Amino acid sequence: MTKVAVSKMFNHSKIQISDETNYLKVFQHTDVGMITLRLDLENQVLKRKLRHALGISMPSVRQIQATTDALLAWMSPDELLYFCTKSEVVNRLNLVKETMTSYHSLSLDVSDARVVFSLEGGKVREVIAKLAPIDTAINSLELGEIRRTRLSQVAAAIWLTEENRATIICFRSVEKYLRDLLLISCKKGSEVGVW
Amino acid sequence: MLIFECPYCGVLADETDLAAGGEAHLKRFGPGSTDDEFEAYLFNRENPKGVHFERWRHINGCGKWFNAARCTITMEVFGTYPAQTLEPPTEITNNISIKRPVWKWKEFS
Amino acid sequence: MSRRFSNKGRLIKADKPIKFHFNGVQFTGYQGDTLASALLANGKLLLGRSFKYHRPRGVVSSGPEEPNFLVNLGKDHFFEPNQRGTMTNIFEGLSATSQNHFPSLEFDFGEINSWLARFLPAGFYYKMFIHPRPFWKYIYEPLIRMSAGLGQAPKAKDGSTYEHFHAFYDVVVVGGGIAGLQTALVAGRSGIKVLLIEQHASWGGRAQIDEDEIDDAPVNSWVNKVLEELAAMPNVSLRTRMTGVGVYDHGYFLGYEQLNDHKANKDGPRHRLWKIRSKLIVCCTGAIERPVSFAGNDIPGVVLASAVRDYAINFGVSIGQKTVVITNNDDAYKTAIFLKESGLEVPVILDAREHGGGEAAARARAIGIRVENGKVISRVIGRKRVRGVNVCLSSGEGETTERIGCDAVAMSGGWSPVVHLWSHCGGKLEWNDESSMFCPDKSRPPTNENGESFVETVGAASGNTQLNEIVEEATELGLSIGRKFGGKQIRSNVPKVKQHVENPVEPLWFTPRRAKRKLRNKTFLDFQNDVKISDVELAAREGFESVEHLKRYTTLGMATDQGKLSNINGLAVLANALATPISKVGTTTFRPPYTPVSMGSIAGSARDSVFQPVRMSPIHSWHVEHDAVFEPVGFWRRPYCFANKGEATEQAVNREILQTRSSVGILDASTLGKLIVSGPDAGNFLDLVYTNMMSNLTIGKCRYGLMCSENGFLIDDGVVARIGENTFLCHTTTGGAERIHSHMEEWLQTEWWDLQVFVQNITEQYAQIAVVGPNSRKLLNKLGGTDISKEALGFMEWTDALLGGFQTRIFRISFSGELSFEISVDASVGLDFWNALLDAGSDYGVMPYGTEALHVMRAEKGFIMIGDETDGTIIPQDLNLNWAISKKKNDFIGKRAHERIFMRNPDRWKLVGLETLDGSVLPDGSYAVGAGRNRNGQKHTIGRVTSTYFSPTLNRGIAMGLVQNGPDRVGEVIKFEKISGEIVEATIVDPVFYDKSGSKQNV
Repeated sequence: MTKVAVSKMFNHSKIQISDETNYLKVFQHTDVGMITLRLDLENQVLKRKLRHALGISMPSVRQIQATTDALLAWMSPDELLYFCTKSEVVNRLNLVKETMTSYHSLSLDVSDARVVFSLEGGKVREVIAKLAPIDTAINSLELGEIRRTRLSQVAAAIWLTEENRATIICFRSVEKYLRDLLLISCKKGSEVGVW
Repeated sequence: MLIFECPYCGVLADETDLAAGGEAHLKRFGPGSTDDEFEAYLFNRENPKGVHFERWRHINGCGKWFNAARCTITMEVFGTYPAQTLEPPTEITNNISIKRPVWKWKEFS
Repeated sequence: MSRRFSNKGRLIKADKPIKFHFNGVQFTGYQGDTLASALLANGKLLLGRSFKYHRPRGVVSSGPEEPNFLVNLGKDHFFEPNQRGTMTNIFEGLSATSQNHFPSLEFDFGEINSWLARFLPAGFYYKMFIHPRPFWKYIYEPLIRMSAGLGQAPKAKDGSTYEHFHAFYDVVVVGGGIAGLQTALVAGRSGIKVLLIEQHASWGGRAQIDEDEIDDAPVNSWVNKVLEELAAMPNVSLRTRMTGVGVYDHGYFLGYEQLNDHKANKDGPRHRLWKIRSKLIVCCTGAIERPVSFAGNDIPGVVLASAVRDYAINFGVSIGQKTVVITNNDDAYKTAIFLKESGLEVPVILDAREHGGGEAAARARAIGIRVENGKVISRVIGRKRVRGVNVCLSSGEGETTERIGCDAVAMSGGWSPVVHLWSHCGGKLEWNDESSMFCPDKSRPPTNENGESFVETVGAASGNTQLNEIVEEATELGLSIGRKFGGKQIRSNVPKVKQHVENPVEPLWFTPRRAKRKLRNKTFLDFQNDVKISDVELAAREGFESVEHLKRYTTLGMATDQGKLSNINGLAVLANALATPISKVGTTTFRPPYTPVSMGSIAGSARDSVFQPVRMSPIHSWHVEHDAVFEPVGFWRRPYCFANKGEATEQAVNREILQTRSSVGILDASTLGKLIVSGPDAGNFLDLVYTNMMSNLTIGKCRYGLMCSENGFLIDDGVVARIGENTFLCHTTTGGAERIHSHMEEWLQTEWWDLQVFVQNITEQYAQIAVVGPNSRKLLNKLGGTDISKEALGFMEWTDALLGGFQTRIFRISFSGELSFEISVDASVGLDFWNALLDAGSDYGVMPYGTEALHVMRAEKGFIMIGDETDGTIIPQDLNLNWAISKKKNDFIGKRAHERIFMRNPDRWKLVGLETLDGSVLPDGSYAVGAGRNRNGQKHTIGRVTSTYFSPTLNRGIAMGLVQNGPDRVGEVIKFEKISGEIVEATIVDPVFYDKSGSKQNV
């Protein structure tokens, strides 16, 4: 998981939604393209073909692979989620469809189905721990590991790209809910102070 | 507040990330079955005081269904395993037999 | 008279005075004072009224177990009732009022209950309020409502914020006394993850009050040294003002952190609820002293002996000038000794034991305190405060041997280990006769998901009160925990503590042992609920022999303190009444929370905009800007209608329907579920899931499908479109996407896992808009880009199309019966497309319409709605949808169920239309009544209304309903009964009210 990959992928499209009342910086990202790939992840031949076509390694369980302009995340035993810029989605989707064409598979543009937020600051692990029933401690939630769980009342996926930076995706219809929730959870004065 | 290891994505999943799915290894009866068989399929459940096999879905996680062997009295979990099987794996039934020498659930023991 | 006799209290800062209000009067205390200590310092002893009898109450404890001193705390947005004054630190500007009295604390009308006590024993309401029956509604119930509750319910919205925190530890140590500090220190040294929590603001527990030295240094300096070392460990977290409130399955533990209750500044979260998973929970929760049961033990000034010395040592406050001590153990002597050495009077120590006390008794005598063995108090003199005591022989019936004047009584009936957390998840207790305690039975601990014990106890919580033994136990446990959880190898010394020699406690359940009825009537067990010894004996006489029955019948232990002071004393009386050993009687079940937690902390941050995860369509902002009236559909918010200024919703709905049917309207349908079902077995799978055949659906076509459960009942309906050879798009009802997706995944993963099918929920990827009405095609042609003539795109067909520059997919499906196009675009351009439609349709008076217009229009066409015509008991055949059930398929979910007798019964209620004779709208859910009555004297019901609306199209009320043999009775007039009893007559008609031939949707 390289730092460079993240900066190039998401930095250009981020809008800060937090202010000086928050102890983390919270951003929303607007130019994130997403493609869902359903396939048999036991099929080594298919995975090699995809790796070759997309130029990105296949992630193992709960892992995110990265290149300078794409991410590939393991979502479930038969699902991967591919990230690229929105402008690239059509091309990459066609490429994926071509590659998987003779296999039982499904690939769809889901760029508009989800929204992307990120958190920056020393206490990202702590803020996530306020909302998700998972162990976010340093030796438990690793960099580049994707965790699908809930943030308070909505399902979400979370991963840390660096020690001070977390990315969060959830469904578009609850954008306002998650936005408000994240801002509330890092209000100054509410620091937990365990780690 | 239970916690189960999801056999698909390997995480310890909090109960609030899961949806309970009732008894596992139900035998489905469809067209051609007798009224008694069909009624039993729909409504009869083991409801044991002890070892129970049940289904759970990792709804906020990988979305997959898995089965768990759990004691309904002490909440001890003897193991979790993928749901695509007609009977529990032997590692789990052996584990149960070690801890509960006399146990019986449907035709497994 | 209580007062501050010294400014050197351990916890107060006498140079930091604080002003606060109690019952409207201003008082001064010091920083560090609790409300209790500050008021006692100001001579206030009468602080509350008991629940039932409204007897005068003062503090009886110094901690969370307090049953008497409860206050309404704060004002307006920070108001909270039932706060314990013993746990409330004062801050500048604090305001509190006492509870449960009228008109005032000093003069309370409610005291009349006390005079009527003879007629109000335990359980009186089970007997009294039953007769005469008519009294209940107008006399009993209003009276009970008036006297119910202690504090007042808050009226303003809670002005504080709250939050949750999830944390995972190897071990949580509950309690920051010596046992907890030592356990956490040793475990922490091994490097494992430790959380140590303490409910009070300061560390060190009872040892800070009761012990002199640890490791040859004052207790306080030992504590500080340990804290320093703990604070420096990165693997250890320390928290004060945090209570362990519950232990649950699989190592789940709730910690309740109170962040600003002690501050004037209420910024920041008030409470934080920690949701913790721990491999081990160590309860170093100590023990709580028991009251002694003598007549008048509830009078203000009678206080637990340890609390008397807590107030003296921590706050420099004395309960009284002359304190009589009564005890059955050596511990209470410490109180007498400290008071005497502080210059206060201790007329006598009454030790119920014939052989009295050990070292402590000798010391007391040595400093000149009179000690009497084998003697007790028979009754306290005084009403609003202690004025004196009658002394008698412990073994006697209560004849007064002496009367002693005093203004305080320090009582100690022994100690009860705090075993709640041990017990919450199934840990068992055993009665220790020697120490008169229920202690954790270490052979039957609570077990976790591995079947292993996950709770330990150390110290007084285990029943061990000797500090020299406790520190050894704690050290050993700390070392073993470190080893067990993979910490590094370490060594730790056991701190040096002086051993004390004590005489054993002797149980003292009746004071005196053969107290007569007159005394037992005034001997209190539960101070808040006014439960007396005579009440427990009454319950036993009436057959309530189980301790659980005793609790509910007498309300012993059901007050806000949950029996922390009363349970053991109460069950000992029960045991005696039943001539059964205490070990057989047992305790009631301990349940979380250990002490009360605020509702706010349970809700956490879920309030206002994040109370619920409200779901909004991509076009939501337009609806808001245009004053849509919203209705919730699951978590979605959908426009019900768009009301113009001054327009009632009914008018708006009618307007929308008429405009749509005469020209064109648009509806935001984005919330409808969309599932892609794809794979070589997709068709076969859908054949199993729907009642219809889907595998023979042609690419480019749509089909309306029904889904049933295995039990045969309708669970969803929707249009399925064939996108490709192996790909289908299934629509579900709004809010049904997740449910139906789950349904499909359940069958694919747990039953038919050999089928090669992927299901993907793509609801949120698209915005979907219905363009509806005779001018709908004209509107879309204005956008242009694709041929959507009748020939190019027929009814129930779909196509991908460019419209006005937008990439779209158009489905020609109609829920209104008009010419209708449902169009999906990527969600990110949904709003733009909506605006483009409004623009293109301006010539036709295009009008946005909401869910109500949608519902009325489909009803006019006799189309069913899941949730209206279905309620979980309806099968497709009930709704005349037999045509949608394939006869060719061997199997589908629900097929077998439909073969059962009662589902083939011709008398089942079936779908019809209903038109009232007078044109009015039938009330929703009303029942049709037939002739005669059944065996119970009830009317026969022969049908019910499932949907009912005013139809502006037909200018009359229309309804759909289920009627027995309905379709065979078209033309018959049946009677519907309103709630008022009034009858409305309606004719049974065809459910299709409008455009029966269906020509309007097929142009």
